[in-house]
Amino acid sequence: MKVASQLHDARINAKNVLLDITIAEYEVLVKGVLQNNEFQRKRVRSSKTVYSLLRSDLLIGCVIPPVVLALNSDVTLTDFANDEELADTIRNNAASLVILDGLQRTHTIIDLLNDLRREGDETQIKKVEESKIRVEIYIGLNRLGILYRMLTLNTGQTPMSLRQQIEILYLDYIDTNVNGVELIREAEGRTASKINQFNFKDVVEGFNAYLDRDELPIDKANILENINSLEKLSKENKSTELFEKYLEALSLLVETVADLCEGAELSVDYLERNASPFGKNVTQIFKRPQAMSGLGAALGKLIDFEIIGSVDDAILSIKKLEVESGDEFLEEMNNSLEWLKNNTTKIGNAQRTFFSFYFRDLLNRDSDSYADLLRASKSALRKYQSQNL
Amino acid sequence: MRNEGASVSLELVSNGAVAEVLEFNCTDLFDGRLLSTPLKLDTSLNVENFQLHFLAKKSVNENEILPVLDASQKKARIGWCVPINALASDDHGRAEDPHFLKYAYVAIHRLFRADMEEFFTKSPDAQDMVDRTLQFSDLIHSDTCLLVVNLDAMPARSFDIDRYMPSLIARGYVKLTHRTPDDLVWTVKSPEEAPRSLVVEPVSNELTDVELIGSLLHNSVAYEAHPVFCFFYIYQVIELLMEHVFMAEHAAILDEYRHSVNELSTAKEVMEKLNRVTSEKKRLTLLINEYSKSRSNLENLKQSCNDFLLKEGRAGGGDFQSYFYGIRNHIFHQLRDLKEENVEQLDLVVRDFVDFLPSLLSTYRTRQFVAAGA
Repeated sequence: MKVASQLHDARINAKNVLLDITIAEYEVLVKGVLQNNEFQRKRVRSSKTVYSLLRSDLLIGCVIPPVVLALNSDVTLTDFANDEELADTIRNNAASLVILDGLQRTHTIIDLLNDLRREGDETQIKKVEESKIRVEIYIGLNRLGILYRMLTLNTGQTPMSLRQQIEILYLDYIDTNVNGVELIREAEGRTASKINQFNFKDVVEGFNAYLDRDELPIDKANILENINSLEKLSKENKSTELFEKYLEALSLLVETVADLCEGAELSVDYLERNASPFGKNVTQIFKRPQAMSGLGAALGKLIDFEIIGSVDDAILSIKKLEVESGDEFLEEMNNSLEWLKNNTTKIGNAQRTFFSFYFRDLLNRDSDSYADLLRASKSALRKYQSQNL
Repeated sequence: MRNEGASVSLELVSNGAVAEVLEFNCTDLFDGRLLSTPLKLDTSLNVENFQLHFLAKKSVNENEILPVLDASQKKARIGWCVPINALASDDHGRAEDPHFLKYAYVAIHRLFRADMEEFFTKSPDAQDMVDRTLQFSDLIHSDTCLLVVNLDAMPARSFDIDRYMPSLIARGYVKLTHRTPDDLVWTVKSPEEAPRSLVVEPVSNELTDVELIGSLLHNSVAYEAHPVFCFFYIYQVIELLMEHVFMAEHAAILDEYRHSVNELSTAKEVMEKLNRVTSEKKRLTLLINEYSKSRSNLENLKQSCNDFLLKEGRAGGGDFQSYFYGIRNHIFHQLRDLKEENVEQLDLVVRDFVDFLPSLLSTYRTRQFVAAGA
């Protein structure tokens, strides 16, 4: 392993080290990484074109594009006494390496070596093992920095779903402890069926709607901006507090509405008319991502318009909610959402906007629908119709 | 999408799990990308039994996922019409419909085997490295609809899309061409209750000009904003049909004329008949009363035509040939007098006529003549 150069990346405050190493050394270095790969996507099935080409290139000694790794450990930006010490540090912390760019290339290399070893072609094995590869390693990156690099580097990188990116961005919040709420990650394969369980991704989207004051889903264009705003928030050390407040409002809302509606369920008659309602009970309605994002955007806008001072004011209003008939409210909400389903080009977005109007009316002391669950559902639909049709 | 590259693979991710790797020819822009749908696709149908056709509908509602019923086959289901947005969402009412989930799979599968050079499509952005999961909206305009036809449900296992185009445009669907659906003008007023199916009927086999009729409707009317020009285009369909009527009548009259040799009075009658059939209005009467058995929707058309004529200070009428031909004469000969405030009423005429057209065309039959001398 030879350290070819060291550069400082001022944007993410990390050291970038370029190494020349043999493929055999690289294999030792990254073998453990493939098993412990928090950020990267799963391996994609090899495409016929690029990766098979890469395989044959490796066999004839072609220099492949550099792979990019990050040392995700407590290694700090201390100046190393010499290159040897730096190389040792990297080897000793191999278990903490993360592949930022080049996961599929790494899989191709390991597969090729495994195949050659199975075939017992010693000459070919030696040739590939002794070929050199360039490796860039970022040292001293925090998780946001790693993600930033993953999203901005990436030539030849295989895809990561937006959902996965969002979960990574907000990973710090997964252990938030608010009113016994349990946040469930997509990868866990569990469903958020209990009243105090929420899908992490949906809550994150709702929180993001609060930060952006926009109930529509995060798209790829604004995920980088998100990283920037998160960085800002983390500097102010407010992000966790804000997230907890949002989650507190959300869980209190779900709990309060469920209590008020006393287990109301859609009737058999109703289900005969509409077999696929938005929610068969109020909990189902308010635990859908559309409602969570609508709540987030509404809270943000109410604060911006100085109708409430903070999320705490909204929490006080949630405690004052009332409804005369849980059954009637449940049907009315489903009717409104069904209307949107039948009359809009993008149902999910329309429903998010409806919920944003709904919570703005529900939590606004100056509104005629203040704290009135049923009335707000009617006024929100009217508002949607008048603004969009 | 371009067919200039090598075969690359694209993983179809259904509800978080890879359903299938689709192999198709295109550029490396797609290589290693994921195509994501939240639907739990059912991959059990044999895609070879289906045809896919590309349609567009202005601002199509994501929930308009409709089984397609063929009126000529006692409303048997021949396929599904699926807005492209519905493949990228599970917010609609069919997200758990087992039949739809089978067809959704077929639609996606056939989509990537279609020659997309023929249609308006987008190319994924090569520079976009932030999220390389492809959405349907990265490839196809959101107003695109996919018509998936089950060939097993068609007599003779064939489906000629051109024969169904008049009834598709009557429901707001037009052929997707190279033009962006953003340019589309044609819209159909939504019924009060959400439609449960898309009923279509084919143009009569006696008419061989289906491509020409389709082109008038889908390339001209669909992109024309001014009702006067729309009326001009739709009237060309009537002109075409009247030409067929003339040819059939003419042949029958000539036959009769040949048999009237040495019978002066009969010959004179035949000559008068020939004279009559050259009248456009007479042929219009024949078309409506003899060549087509359709009566559906004529009440609406009659009403809108007479309302328009009244507003324009012209006499209306009780028969198709009176009210419709009256408008034709007004538009063709006195367009200069058309009052701007009545243009909207003419738009209603156009819409009611397009609504009536499928049954006119599907029931078209050359009338049977009593053999001369019989």
